[in-house]
Amino acid sequence: MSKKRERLEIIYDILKAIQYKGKDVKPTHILYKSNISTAMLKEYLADLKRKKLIHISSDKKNKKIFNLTKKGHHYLQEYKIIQDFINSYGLD
Amino acid sequence: MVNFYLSPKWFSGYDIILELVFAIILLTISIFAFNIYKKTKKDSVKILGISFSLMSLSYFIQSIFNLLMILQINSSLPRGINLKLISSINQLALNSHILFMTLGLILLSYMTLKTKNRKIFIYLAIIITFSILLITTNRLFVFYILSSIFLLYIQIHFIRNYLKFKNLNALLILLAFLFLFLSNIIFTFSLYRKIFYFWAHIALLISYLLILLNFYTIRKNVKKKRKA
Repeated sequence: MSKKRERLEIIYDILKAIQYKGKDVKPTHILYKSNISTAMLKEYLADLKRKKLIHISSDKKNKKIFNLTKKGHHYLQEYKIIQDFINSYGLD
Repeated sequence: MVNFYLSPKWFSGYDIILELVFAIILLTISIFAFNIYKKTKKDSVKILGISFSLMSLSYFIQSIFNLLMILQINSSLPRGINLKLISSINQLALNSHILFMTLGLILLSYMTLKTKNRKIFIYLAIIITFSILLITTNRLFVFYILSSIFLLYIQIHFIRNYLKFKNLNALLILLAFLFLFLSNIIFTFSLYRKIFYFWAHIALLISYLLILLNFYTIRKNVKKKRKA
């Protein structure tokens, strides 16, 4: 059985999904890449917006699109440092 | 190590500088680990931070007491008083170094067990630390042997970790702890021949430089990506 993902890891997966797609990412893409339920994703996205890690706007069809903020990019870099450090000492 | 008489004359003074360097490297990594703990709340990261802090403290104490001993040896106090003082400083240095280093290594071993049962750590710490400190003859020898056993056990964890990730960072830590283990074995021989004291310090230096290199590599990789 796979280990339950931690909050930081889920946030990383969401932000990484947005970064990977580049610009104006749709929620379906994030949902597919982050592998969590719709309800959970809504909660996470609201939290990420509150923390200014993502920017939410609307496209021409008035559908929500997501972009990473500078803080969001910084989070991804910091997460990489943390993960490398944890892995190098086998602290997982 | 702590015992001044183990050092070859030409090396005394340099060992103090090296021990300070080891202490600073360990302190840097432990502060970094505590920062990561604040963000991740992972117990294993906190344990690594505490064990590196204890090891750092043991080197700080060792270098300070070694410096005090050198100053005392060169002082103008009457010979009898001076020898007594040197002997007291030596004993204090030896016991403090053994205490903090042993606790640090036991914590590291506990971390590799990946258990949340704190009683295991408490029992191990009490039994082993007190048995070493209560031994009156060959205390240093027993300390080096027990530390080597702990390091060998910790080494198994880092071998497994390297086989899991097979990357440079895991390899650097594996090699660092291999040199730490080797330095302990060499220190055991330094009780019989002084030159081994020098070689043990060189092995320690390689070990801590590898730990520092791992830290540098982790941070550098991200900086490179930021520029790109």
